[in-house]
Amino acid sequence: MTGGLLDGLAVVLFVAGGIYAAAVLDRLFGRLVTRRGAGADWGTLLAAPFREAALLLSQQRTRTERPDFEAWALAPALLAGLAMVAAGSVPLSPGHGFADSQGGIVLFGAAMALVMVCVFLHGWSSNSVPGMVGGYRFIAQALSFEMPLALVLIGVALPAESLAFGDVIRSQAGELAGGGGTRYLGQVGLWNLLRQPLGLPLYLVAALGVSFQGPLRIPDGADLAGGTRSEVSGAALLSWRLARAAVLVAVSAVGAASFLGGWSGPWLPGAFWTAVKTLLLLALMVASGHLLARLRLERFVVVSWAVLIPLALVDVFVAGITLLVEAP
Amino acid sequence: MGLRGSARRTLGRLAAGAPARVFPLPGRGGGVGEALDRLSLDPRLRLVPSPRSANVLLAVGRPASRLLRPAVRVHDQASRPRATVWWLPPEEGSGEGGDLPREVDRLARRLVRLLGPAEVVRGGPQEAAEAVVRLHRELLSGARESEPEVLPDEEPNPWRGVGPHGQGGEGMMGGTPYGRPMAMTGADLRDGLQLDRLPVRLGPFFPPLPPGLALDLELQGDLVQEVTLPPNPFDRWAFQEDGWRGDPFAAALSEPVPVEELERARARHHLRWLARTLRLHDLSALAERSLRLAFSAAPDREREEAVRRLEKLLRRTRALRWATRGLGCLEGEDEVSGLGPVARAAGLEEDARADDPAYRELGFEPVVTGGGDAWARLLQRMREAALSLELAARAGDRTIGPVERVEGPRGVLAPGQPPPSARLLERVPELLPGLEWGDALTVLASLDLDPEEAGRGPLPEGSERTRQEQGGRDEAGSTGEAAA
Amino acid sequence: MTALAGAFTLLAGGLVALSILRYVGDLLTPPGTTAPQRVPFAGGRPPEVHAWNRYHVRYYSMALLFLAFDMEMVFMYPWAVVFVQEGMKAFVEMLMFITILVLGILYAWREGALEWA
Repeated sequence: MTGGLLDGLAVVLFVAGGIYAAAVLDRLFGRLVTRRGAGADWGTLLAAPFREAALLLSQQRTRTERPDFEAWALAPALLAGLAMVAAGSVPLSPGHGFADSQGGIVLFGAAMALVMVCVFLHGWSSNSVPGMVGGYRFIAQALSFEMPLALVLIGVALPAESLAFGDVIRSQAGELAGGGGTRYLGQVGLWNLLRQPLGLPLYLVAALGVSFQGPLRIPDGADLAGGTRSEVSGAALLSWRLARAAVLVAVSAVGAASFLGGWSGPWLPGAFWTAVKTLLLLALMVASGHLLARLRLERFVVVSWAVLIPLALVDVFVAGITLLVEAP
Repeated sequence: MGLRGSARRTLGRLAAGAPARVFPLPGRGGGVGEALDRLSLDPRLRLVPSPRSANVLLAVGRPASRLLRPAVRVHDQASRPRATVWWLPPEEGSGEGGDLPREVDRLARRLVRLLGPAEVVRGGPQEAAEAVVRLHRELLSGARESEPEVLPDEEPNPWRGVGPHGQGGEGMMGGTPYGRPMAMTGADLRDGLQLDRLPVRLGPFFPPLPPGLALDLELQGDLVQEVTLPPNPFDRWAFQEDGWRGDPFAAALSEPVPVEELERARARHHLRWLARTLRLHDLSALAERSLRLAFSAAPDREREEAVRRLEKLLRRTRALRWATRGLGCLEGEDEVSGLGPVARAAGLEEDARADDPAYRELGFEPVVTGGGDAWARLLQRMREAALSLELAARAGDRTIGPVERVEGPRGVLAPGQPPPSARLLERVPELLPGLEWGDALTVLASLDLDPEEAGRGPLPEGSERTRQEQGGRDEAGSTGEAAA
Repeated sequence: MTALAGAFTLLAGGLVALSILRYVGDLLTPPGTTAPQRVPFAGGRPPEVHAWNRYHVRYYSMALLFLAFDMEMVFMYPWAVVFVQEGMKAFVEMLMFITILVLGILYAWREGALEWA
């Protein structure tokens, strides 16, 4: 579970590549949904994220009359740090986890809980109405998705008998440290997608919430003229967008590790499989933004507490029962 | 520093290839909205929701005096490097952007003096796009200096209070810290809790609102407590006849208009409205698809199919329905009668087109959706757009008009009657209180308001010929009375 | 390097990297904002008051419910690790605990704590 500096660099490159892939996928899906013809013009598509970054760096970084300077500067930086911690808690290939600690799931949950602080500060510190409203809204959103997020991860921790993501992956690959490992529906190693079917859909909803993407793009919504980012420009806006994309990549990576088996896969090296599965979840989440409208916050809160949490609890208890029944 | 300069230049060259970021400042003129929508389809530029992210400010159309100061303030809020373009799209029915009337000219000169636009463009969306992109490239590559701020660099208010150090003051305010007071307390709408009431002044250029609408809200938390409408910036004093010129629906009141043209205009209007609404709900890709449909040159049948497919997509992905269901219910015959899609979405089966012989030949039947909420209005307008395209495909040479009442895209247009937008605008202060911010904006969008149309005032009493007919009828009536 | 040290390195790295990025932009395009530029954007009219106010956070009762569930999560984490060893006893105990909390959600739902507009 320890790793050298090269593993750390691998995590950084992984997240950076994921951010770039998210940007390209976003544009690609936008074109597909617009029916503008995605086939042509790959060059523009692939260069576009760099051009946009350059544009943002060439713009002035404005401020408002009386912001909270320190909090405003802290928000995107802390968000990026939390995203890196979350991404690092997943081992990219067997034996190469940089921050794959014994309590990886707890670390991930803690990092995602602090995202609430970052988004709130980002919106509130600008001392402008749309930002402030966006920040307060996100708190309601965050309090609602935290529970399903934590519960489904508990569900995947049950067969692994451990809170480390490395063990979660190994339990899906059938390689538990204890030897034979518990049998699960007759199979020793099976993806959690199949043996805990409620898990991945619930996790995706929570992941959309924590990265405020797609239908849960509530703090930065169009009805607030950009919300928490309405007063931000220049390098500060670039930092915010990068940090948010990093969170998206991190939750995709964790989802791939918890439900799709992480680095397990035939023939090719583990890192490749991690990347492919992360990319798949990333694509799903980015595509949802183009097809699903932004939800009403109140409706989401009610549904989250009244439907999603009970479903997550059912998921956990069914997983528990299955384990007990199958236990040798 | 050489390193900094060369870094800036490389970045600038890279950035110049990105789509230009444009913040629109729509002015008056019936074709402004449509021109902007056409422009937004150009892949070389992108309309942004906030001037902070914009490079180029695009003032479109003729200036209205109440829009000048807000435009200047928005100009100064944009981040550097920035430039302004003033675009005068060709007026409908008057050829290439002709000479402006004298009153407009005075305002125009004031606009030019205040904003100092880098370029004034007269022409279609193509020319405007070229100008915007050119400015964008020049700004970013360093060939052109950013425009300076217009307003003086002064703090809004000195920090003023009661005590010798500027502290102290009344209640929560304590003077004007950093130039502005703090919000005062007020009772909440529903439970009377005394917390701060935040007055929010949403201006004419706030993208989530219908273009040109200004609102004064009082918020407690994110719930709207009270709504006041400031004076309409488009209030007519000089442009009454001008406002309705070029509108094919108003033209049908006094001369024959081909049904095909009318229905295509209706479909275009509804699809443009759909694009605005979808953008409000963070579905910008679908909004662009809707805009492309609105302006596409494909045959009407194909477009009708595409609209129906879009409707099915929006219905199947339930999210939009959850976001709009049950909001802004407008039912009741006296409230909504004559308001076109709003009335039909409430279940009233009324459509002025059903009375017309040309439409009856085509087998026209009004589309009615029940429910009266924002979702019903969305479905209603999509279905009407599809129906219009179908009618346009089958219309052939038929014409409509001159008639006494015309079914416009927002409601019934009749001489002497206020336009539908004016009636809807009156309802806004009672519809919005109690709604959460996002819901309030959804309701506003679903009403399809146009402050410019509302400001045009009642339709003129018809053309010269109709006035003569009216005069003739009056004479006959009075002699009849005298005889009796 | 232990895993936790790795986590802290990543946290610090992310923090430092994006802080640097923020100020690199300043080197290339100096901020130098003027007073009219600093007015918060609301469509063209200046704001009457500062945005900071005693915001009516209507979902505070939902936040209290969340606290209760958060305390439950604290217990579920170690429970998940030892669950298979402990067997049915652990399952039933957690089931009882969760049922009590789910009753809490039901109560909050019926009392309207989850809706506020």
